[in-house]
Amino acid sequence: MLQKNHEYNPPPARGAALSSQTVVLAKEAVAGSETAFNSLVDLFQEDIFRMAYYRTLSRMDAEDITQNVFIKAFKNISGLKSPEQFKSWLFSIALNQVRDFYRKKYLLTKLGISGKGGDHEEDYAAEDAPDPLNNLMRQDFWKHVGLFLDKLPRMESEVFTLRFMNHLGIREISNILKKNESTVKTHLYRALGKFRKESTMRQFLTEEKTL
Amino acid sequence: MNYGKDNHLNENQFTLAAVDKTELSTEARKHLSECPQCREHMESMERELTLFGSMAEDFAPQQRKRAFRYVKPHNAGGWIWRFRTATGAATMVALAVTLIWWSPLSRTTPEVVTGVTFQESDQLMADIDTLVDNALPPIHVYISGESGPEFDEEFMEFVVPVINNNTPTYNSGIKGEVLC
Repeated sequence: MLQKNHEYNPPPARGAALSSQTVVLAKEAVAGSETAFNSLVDLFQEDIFRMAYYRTLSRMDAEDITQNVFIKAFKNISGLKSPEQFKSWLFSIALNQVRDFYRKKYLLTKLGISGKGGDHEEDYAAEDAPDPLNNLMRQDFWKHVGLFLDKLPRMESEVFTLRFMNHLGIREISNILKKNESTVKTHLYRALGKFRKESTMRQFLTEEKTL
Repeated sequence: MNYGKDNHLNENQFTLAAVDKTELSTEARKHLSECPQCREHMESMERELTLFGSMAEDFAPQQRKRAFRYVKPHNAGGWIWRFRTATGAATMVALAVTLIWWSPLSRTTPEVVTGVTFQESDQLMADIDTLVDNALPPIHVYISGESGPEFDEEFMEFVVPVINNNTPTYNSGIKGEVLC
């Protein structure tokens, strides 16, 4: 039975300690410990939510995807062969969920029964952006990010997002995308080269730095 | 490639270093560690990417709906508890059925026919007959004079005489009419 979590403990800081903690918890979860699985949910739900948000730019969709990711993870955790790769495994589930989301959305759009979607501005509530200037900057930032990522080929965009927005390592990305590390590096190199040439985005970042 | 004082890393090498420093050649790596200008450039690039990542994090909305957690279903106990629960439920159902069966609301009693009821019915029928004969209320009957004894048939004949064929009519004198 899955119930809503009302008590939320923020995840500890990233790093080696977190990594070793994750491995221990993943091993326990694979062995059947529900408590360990719940701790893993607490540790990674923010990361998964952000990962989904970066790809959907909709809070509600990202929340739904996050929920589905953990439900799917719970159902399949006993089949995880390498608990050391729990994070990569979780992100690969998330990536598949995002793909499913877009597939469904595409089908619904084709059938003409899709609701309002794609406009993420509705997600910004007053408590998220009490400052109008901040809200404007937020919108501007996501507009620039969207424009830049749209220019990139799918794999370059995926690798760039995972590396610089989700803060994943090359090895983790290669595990998630099931590509070898040199392929990941090549895509990342190309994407980064394009990012360096993206004057509007870099200008935006420079302005932000000076503020 | 010789990395002297004036021979710094190019943009591609900086990009490669940002992806993975180990991808740089040994010479380039050595130059990067020794040249303050290249190091500054590299650090600036890394700061920019870190800023980009942190801005993405800051500008993402807060998660409102927390992810679901597994909650072990509460084990209600062994077979004894289940037996007790089932027995209790069955008893309650039996009790409810019995109460409904014997409830006064659920039982219909036959109506007692008394002499008073008959009298009331006769009275009602008499009233209906009266209304059929004359639907006017008594006051209207009085006004109309229908109830007066003096207005008998003779009086009515006087008021509205019976037309006789032998009596002269308004057609008298018309050509073709025979006068008596």
